[in-house]
Amino acid sequence: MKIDQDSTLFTRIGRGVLDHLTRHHGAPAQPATAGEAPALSGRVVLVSSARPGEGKSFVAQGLARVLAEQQAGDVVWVDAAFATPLVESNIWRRGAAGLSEIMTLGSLQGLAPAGAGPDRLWRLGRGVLAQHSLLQRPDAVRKGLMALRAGFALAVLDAPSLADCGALLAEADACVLVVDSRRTSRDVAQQALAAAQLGPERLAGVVLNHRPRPIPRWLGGD
Amino acid sequence: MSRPPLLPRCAPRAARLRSARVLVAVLYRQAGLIAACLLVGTAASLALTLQQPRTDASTAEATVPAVRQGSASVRSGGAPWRDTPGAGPGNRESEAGTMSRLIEHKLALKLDLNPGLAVPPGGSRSVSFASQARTLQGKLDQIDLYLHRYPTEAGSRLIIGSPDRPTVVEGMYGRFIGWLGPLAGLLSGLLMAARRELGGDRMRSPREAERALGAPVLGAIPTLSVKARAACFGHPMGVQNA
Repeated sequence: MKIDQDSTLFTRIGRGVLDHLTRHHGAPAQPATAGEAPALSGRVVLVSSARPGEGKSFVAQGLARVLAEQQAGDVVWVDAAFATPLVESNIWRRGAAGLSEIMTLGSLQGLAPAGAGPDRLWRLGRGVLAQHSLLQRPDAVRKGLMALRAGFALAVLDAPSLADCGALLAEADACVLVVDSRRTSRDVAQQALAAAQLGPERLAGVVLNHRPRPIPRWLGGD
Repeated sequence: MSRPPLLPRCAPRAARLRSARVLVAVLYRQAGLIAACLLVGTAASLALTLQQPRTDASTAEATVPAVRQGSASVRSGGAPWRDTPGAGPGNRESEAGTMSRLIEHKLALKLDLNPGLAVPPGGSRSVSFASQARTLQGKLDQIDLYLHRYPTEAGSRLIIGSPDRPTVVEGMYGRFIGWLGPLAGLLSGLLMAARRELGGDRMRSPREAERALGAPVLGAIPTLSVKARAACFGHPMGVQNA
């Protein structure tokens, strides 16, 4: 079923995330410029789901784009889905260096402009050292996110499913849960949320993907 | 003393409204599936109807050799009715009856093909029948003479039987099959639609997701085509791995 795209869809999602961050963690601001001590004022937004294949990458990319338009700081889209098999043909996504190098070596390399969209939008691949076990090490995750906070107002992490996020869940400021309405049942989503122990201060909201055709109001719909 | 009602008075009306909404949702969202099942059922019914055995074809096949046999006996100098079982040379009445039956059969065949010849305006049926029989007999004699003169033509002759008319039972069967397919398709479509719509515990609307997960729904994305997805970003921003 193909439905015309709502052009304001991601705008509303981005506004909801910004509202949540402002309410619980303070508004995101561009970190201090060179020469000053890093302020670590950047915020990290995690885009995850209860199961793999629910549309996290699509939502994360759209969210990063609108967030770059809705606030004044730089935004980086980061591929943190270490558990997902890598598509080797995509050279920029694979990257010679990326988040895994930041987590292990502490050096911010492999950063590139997004190419299209706002000038403040950047992208960062997962790097060649990306291993699933790396996300389970809190010190490595903290080091990586600290570098992102120091460089960007907002970092949108395209994360693996909730069960595979590891230490990312505890370190991120906000989490956006993507739910595929065709595949994911209430029970699965509720169990994943309960296991992740995400409180309301860190769960920014839910994005319902592949929504069935809504019933119009004149037929008694929502 | 009257007992108090177990349910509030408004409950049945609310339940009816809810049921109506569910029905509308099923019909609206799954209209494509229901239509597809209906089409499949109709196509199956049509295929079944076209594959029905035509019993009249075998009758027509049997008619051809019988008439040809009659023609062959004319060519050999004998009367066509002599080949009919039970019609011996010593039985004149039987021969006349057989000839009459043969002519009636051929006349009936002709009348079937040309219903306008049945009764002439202003004439009685018996007079018309006799004159038609004489005309037909004359034509048959001409044909026999022609076939006697040119024997090779006999093989290329094709005798067409009367048009097939289904019997009452066959007609009922055809109508039954004709209605059964679409009806079965419609019912199976409705069942599948209801199963898809009501089965499982999927979250189909933002309200359901909000209620189930206790978190605000930031947005609901419909199923988008590749083109629409690319239009979200202005360019394909990378592989869709999740």
